[in-house]
Amino acid sequence: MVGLISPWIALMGIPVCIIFLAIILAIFTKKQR
Amino acid sequence: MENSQLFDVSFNSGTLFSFIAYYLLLISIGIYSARFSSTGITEFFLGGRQMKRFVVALSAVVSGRSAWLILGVSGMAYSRGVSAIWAVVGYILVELFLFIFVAGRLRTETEQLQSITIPDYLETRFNDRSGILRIVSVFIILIFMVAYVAAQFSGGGKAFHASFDMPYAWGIALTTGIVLVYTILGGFFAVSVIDMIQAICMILALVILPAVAIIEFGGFNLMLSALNQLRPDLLDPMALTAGAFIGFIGIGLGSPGNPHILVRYMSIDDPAQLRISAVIGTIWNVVMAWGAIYIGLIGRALYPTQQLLPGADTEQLYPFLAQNHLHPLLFGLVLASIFAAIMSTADSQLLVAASAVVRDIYQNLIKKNVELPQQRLVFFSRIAILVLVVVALLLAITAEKLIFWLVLFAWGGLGASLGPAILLTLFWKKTTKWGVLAGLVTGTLIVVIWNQVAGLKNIVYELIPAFFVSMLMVVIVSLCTRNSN
Repeated sequence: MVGLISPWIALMGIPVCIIFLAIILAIFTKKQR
Repeated sequence: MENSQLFDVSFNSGTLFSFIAYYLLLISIGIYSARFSSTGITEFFLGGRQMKRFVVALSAVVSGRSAWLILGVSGMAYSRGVSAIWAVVGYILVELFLFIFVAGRLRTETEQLQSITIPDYLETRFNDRSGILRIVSVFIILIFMVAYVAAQFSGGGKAFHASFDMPYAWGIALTTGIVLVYTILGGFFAVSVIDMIQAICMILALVILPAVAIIEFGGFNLMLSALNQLRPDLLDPMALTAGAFIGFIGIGLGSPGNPHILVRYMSIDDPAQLRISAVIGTIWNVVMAWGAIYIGLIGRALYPTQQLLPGADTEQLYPFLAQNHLHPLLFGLVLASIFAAIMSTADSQLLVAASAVVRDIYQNLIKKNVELPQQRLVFFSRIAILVLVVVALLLAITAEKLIFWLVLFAWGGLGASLGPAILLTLFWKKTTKWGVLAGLVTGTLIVVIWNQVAGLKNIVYELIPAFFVSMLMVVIVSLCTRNSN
């Protein structure tokens, strides 16, 4: 099962992190002019 | 065509009906948008900068994704396993960065300078009266865009041929005909709205298909176990060389230089809304990409050897899986999603090529200093689209090898030439016209040369060295020529 941790991160963790990053950036960056 | 037997579908009327209804909808949108698009050239090529955040978000991301995503990435995940994710991570992050940091500035500056094309922007931004920036950038855009459009048409022809057993030439004609009708009538507005619909169609197919197939297989864990038993490295995200890893991530460097993506940002009504577009576009990009990867993985678990796929071709996994696991109506949706991917890219590229002909060559080079009626410019734009379609069609039929040779480095060529030039023009005040010119030429040349030298090509994807050398050239030449600016 140890070997299965890393595919879980690649298949579930990374996409969720990218969406989370988009939301964080959208909230905390200044309004574009 | 060896692919003719691929998804030799026993069509029922439901599949065909959903398919025809879909295309009638697209053409109706073209007709509906015709009046608005006829108002003027800004309306025709930029939707009058009145596009809403949802449309901009989806049309920007979908026009950058051709059939490569759904057929190519799913095939790649089938052959190499989880490590295929790196092919999608790069462009998703770059496009997020573009939405958040670049799009608003580009939108505002192009409006202030009354630019509706990228060459327009470069010329007016540097007050280049010689026209050299416009000529060089139009040349690069036209060559790559026409090749791109021809390749999309050819892809459409092959897909029709494989799906409906229709002759290849008829398939090309049908793809071209549908794109031509709605683009020529509705211009940017129709293309953007249709791209949004295509994006929704694609995402539905890429969520439903892997979900159904994985559930039928017995669940996610069972799929991973099956892959682990088959070949443990299929589950290793790092089972690739450093060169391949950098090359995959570097695919994203193409996005800032592909004008059919950039014009989407320029078309939004309120730049403040781009942050919302960033979230919508990124969610779409992520779901689409991981959907394609899940399709590849479940495909491998179901069909462990490539010989089990039609024609032993991994790119046929997507329709093959759909044919075996979905209801005919949903299978129709999957087929439509392949054409959606092809058409949403072709229409955007066609419009950019037409804007280069009418706005950049005719209005600003041939008829410079002459006031032209807007109606006439729109009329010429429609003629330009027709002519470009005919050229692309002829190229697709008669010079397929040349087309695919050009398309091989279209994404990279545009990315490495226009990308650094535009980013530095927007963000570095010391950029000069000569710096941009040097970047345009260097980026294009390095992509072509690197691609053609086997030893170099094997080290890393040509876009990466070309992008950074081009950027360096813009900086060096700008510093050397700053007094002449």
